[in-house]
Amino acid sequence: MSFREKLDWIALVSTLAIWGFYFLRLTSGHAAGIPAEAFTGLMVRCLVLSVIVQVTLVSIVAARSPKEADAPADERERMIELTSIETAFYVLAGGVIVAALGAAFGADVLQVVNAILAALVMAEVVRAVRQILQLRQAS
Amino acid sequence: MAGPPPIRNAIRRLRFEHGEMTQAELAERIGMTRQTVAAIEQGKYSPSLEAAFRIAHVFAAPLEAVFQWEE
Repeated sequence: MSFREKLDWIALVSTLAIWGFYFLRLTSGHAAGIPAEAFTGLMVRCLVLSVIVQVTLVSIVAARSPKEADAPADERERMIELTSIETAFYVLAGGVIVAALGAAFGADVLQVVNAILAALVMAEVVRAVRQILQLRQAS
Repeated sequence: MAGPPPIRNAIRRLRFEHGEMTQAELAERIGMTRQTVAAIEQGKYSPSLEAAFRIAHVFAAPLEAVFQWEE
């Protein structure tokens, strides 16, 4: 597995685990009638945890293969990054449009924030999956 | 999505003829990853003109001895 693929796995697994947990709690709380404001603290903690987990794991992987970590992406890796980001952009744009429509039709600020956050999470998952699939081809 | 272009390459043979050079060694010499060299060798990625020239330069061969367009 290449260094960049390891980074994508870290992004994918940590995003799914941390934000999956957050949105599960949020939706189950919503079903139980708990207001979204009660989950603002959890959102911030998940954000901080996400940064800490990713920085820590990326640092460990980079320390174990410093040569690969220092090497710039080659042309195939850059092309894969660009196509993956392009796909993720459409997911993010779709999510932002849904959030904007929600705001126009009376959604409150927290609902819009959560919709945009969900769009960001989905875009990141799509980016990482697409990148992993392309990196694994013929490697 | 369009399939890969009909480009054949002789990288595997040329590596063998140059002291059984590994994909990792070739990758190191042209500033790419081993995975990218593997993708080029298997015809799953078409390198840029610059990368193609770099590969040919490593083998001290003209470009057309490394890459051929197959109709």
